[in-house]
Amino acid sequence: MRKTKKAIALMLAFGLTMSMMTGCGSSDEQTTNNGGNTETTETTDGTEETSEDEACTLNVVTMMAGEDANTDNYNKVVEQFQKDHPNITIEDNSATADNDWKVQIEADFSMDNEPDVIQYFTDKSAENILKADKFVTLEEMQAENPEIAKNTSDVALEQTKSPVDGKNYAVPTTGYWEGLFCNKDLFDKYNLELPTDWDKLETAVKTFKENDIVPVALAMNDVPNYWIEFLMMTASTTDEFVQIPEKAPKSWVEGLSKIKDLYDLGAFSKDVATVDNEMAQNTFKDKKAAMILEGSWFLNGVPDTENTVVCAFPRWDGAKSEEGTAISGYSSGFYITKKAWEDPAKKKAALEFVLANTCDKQILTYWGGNGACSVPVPEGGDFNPLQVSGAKYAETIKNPVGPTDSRMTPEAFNGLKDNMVAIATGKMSAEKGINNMLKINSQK
Amino acid sequence: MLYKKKWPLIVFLIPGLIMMGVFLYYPFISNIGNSFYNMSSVVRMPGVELNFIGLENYKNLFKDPYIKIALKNSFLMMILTVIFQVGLALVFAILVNSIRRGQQLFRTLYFFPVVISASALGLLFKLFYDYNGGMLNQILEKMGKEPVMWLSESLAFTMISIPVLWSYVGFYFVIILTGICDIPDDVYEAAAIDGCSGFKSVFYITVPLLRGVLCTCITLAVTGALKVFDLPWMLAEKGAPNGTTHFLGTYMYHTAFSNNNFDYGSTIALFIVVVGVIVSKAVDFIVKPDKNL
Repeated sequence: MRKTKKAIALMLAFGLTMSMMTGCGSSDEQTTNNGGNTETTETTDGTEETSEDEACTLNVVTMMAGEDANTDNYNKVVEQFQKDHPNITIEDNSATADNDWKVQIEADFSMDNEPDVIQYFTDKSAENILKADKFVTLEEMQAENPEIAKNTSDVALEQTKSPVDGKNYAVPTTGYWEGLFCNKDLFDKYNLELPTDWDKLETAVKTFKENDIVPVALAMNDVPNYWIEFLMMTASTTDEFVQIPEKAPKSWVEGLSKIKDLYDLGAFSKDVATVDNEMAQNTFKDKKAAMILEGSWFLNGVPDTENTVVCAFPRWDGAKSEEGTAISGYSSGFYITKKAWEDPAKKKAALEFVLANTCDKQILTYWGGNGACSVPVPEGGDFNPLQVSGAKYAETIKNPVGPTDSRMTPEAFNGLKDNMVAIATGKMSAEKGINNMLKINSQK
Repeated sequence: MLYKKKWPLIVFLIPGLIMMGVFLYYPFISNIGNSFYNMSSVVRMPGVELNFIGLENYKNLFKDPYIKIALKNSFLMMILTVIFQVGLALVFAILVNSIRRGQQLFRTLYFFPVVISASALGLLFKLFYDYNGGMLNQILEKMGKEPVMWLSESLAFTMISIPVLWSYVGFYFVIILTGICDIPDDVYEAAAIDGCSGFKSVFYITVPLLRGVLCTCITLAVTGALKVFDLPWMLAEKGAPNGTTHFLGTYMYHTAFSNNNFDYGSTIALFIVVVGVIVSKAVDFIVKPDKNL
C-alpha cells in the first residue's frame, strides 16, 4: 500500500514538474496561485492531496481565425490547453472580425448568450458591449491571479482602457502601428530618396508618374482610413488631434486638404475611386506601385521582404505634429465575462485560458515581429528584413496616438470616408467633410 | 364545397403564417420602429436606452443627395430592364421559336447566366473592367489603344447595367418562349392561308396573344429592378465612384451595414417598400394585365 502511495506521489510530482516546464501558464507561482492544471493542497493530516480542474465547458471567441496571421498560433494554444486541462472543454467560436461578426457578438451579448472569454476590441467600436457592463475588470482578474498582465506595458494598458468608464477590462496582447511602406528597389531604380519629408514625397510622386509607376497605391472609396488619420494627425498637435471638437479645426482641414494636392499631382492610380483595397494592395506587391500607407498587419502579406521598407509618414513645413508621432497602439484584448466569473469552475478555467493566451511567451509568439508588443521583447530573434525595418520604425514612434475612428462613432467616421473621393477631386471641401463627420458624431 | 372539414387546411396554413410573421412582418414592423430611434447597432443591448429622434431620419431622407442618385439609378434601371431584358427576350424567343433545329441548345445557352450566382458574374465582370490589366483594356492595348477607365463616373452606370441586364434576359426568354409555344399552330396556319407573312404574324398574332405573358414579364422586370443589389455591389462597392452608382438596395445596405447607421438604413428600407408598392400599382395601372383588349 505504502509502495503504491509512493508511486502515485512520484508520478504526481513528475506530472507537476512537467506542467511547470511546459506551457507558460504553469509557473511555480501560478501553481501556488491555483494557476496550474493540478492543484496541490495541504490537508489537515499533513499529507499532500491533488485535485484536477473541475469539469466545465469554456465558450471562447477570438478574432484569430480564417486568414488571420495568428490562427495557427492560437489553435496550438487551444490544443495545448486541452492537453493540459483534460477536464475543461474548449468550445471555440473564433471567426474573422468583420461587421457581421461584430453584429453577431453584440446579439449574443444582448441575449445573455455571451461567451466566457472573448478577444474583442477595446475602442469606440466596443462601446455598446462595454455599456452593458458584462465584463470583469482587469483588477479583479489580477486579484485572483497576479500573473495576469504582470508584464504588460503601461502604454498598452493605457490605450486599452474602456471608452465608457476609463477602467481596464481587457488584457492586451499585441498592438499595431501604421506607416508608409515603400518599394525601395523602385526608389533605387529612379535614384530617388525615401520620402522622409513632404518635398521628397512630391519629388517621388512626380518621378514615378513620369515613369508610369503608380506613386501611391490607395483604394480611396474603400479604405482611405490611414490617409485621413495621418494627414489630420501630421497637421495637428497631439491635443488637437485627439480632441472631439464641435467644428472642424483648422489643422484638420489643412491636413485633409493635402489629399487634393496629392490627387492633383497624380499621386494615385487612375482607378483610385473605384478600385478595392485588395487590388490596390496587389499593385504595391506586384511592384506596379511605389508606396502604400498601411498597418503593421500588412507586413505578413508582402512577398518581397528584402526590398520593402517602412518609413515614417512625411511631414511638411509648418506641420504641427511632433517628430515621432504616429498612429499606433493597442485596440483589442482578452476579456472575461461576468457570466463566467459567477461560476467557480468557469472562473478558474477562464483565468487559465486568458493566461495561456497572454503570458509573455505567447504574446511574443503572437507578435512575431509584427506591430507592437505589450510585453518586453528580448534581444535577437529570427526576423526578415522587412520585419526588422518595421521594428526600427516602431522604435522611432515616441508619441503613439490612436486613430480618429477610435474616438468617433462608426457612422460619423464612415461618413467622412464616403466623402473622400469628393474631397480629393475638389467636389467637396475638406472642411465640409469634417464638419459632416462631427455633426453625425454629435448626434449619435 | 371542396373540403367539408376546415381544420386540416388551417393546420397546413398556420406554419406558413407563422414563418411569414416571424421572418417578414415582425422584422418589417420592427424596422419601422427602428427608424424613429438613434441606433448605432442593430442589436439593442439590455440596459442601454435608445434615443428617440422622431422624424429626423425622414427629414434627412429628403435632403440626402445620395438617395436622389439611388432613386434615379433605380428608375433608370426599371426602364432599361423593360427595354433590354423583356424586349431582347421577346426578340430571342420569337427567333428561336421560328427555327426547327437547335431550339433546345438556344434555350440552354440563354438561360445559363440565370443559374450562375451573381457574385461569380460580378467578379467576372470586375476582372473584365479592371483598369490595370483587365480583359477589355488588354484587348485595347493589343490594338495599340489607350486603356479606358470603364468604371469612371461617366461610364460606370452603363458598364454596371450591362451584366445586370444581360444576366436576366434568359429568365424572361424562357417565360416568353413558353407563352409562344402555347399559341395554337392553327392560328398561324389560318393567317398564312390569308397571306399573312412571317413578319406580320409576329405583330398581329404573336405579340397580341402574348399580352398576358408580356404584362407579367414587365411587372416582374420593373419590381425586380428595385431589388438590384448583388451585381452592382460586386462591381462597384459602396456606390463607387463617389456614390454615383448607388441603387436603392445598395445604398440601404451601405448605410446600414457599412456605415453602421441602422436607423437611417431602416428609413431607406421603408422608403424602398413604399416606392415598390407605388411602382407595382403604377405598372398594374399602365399595362392592365387582366384586361381583355
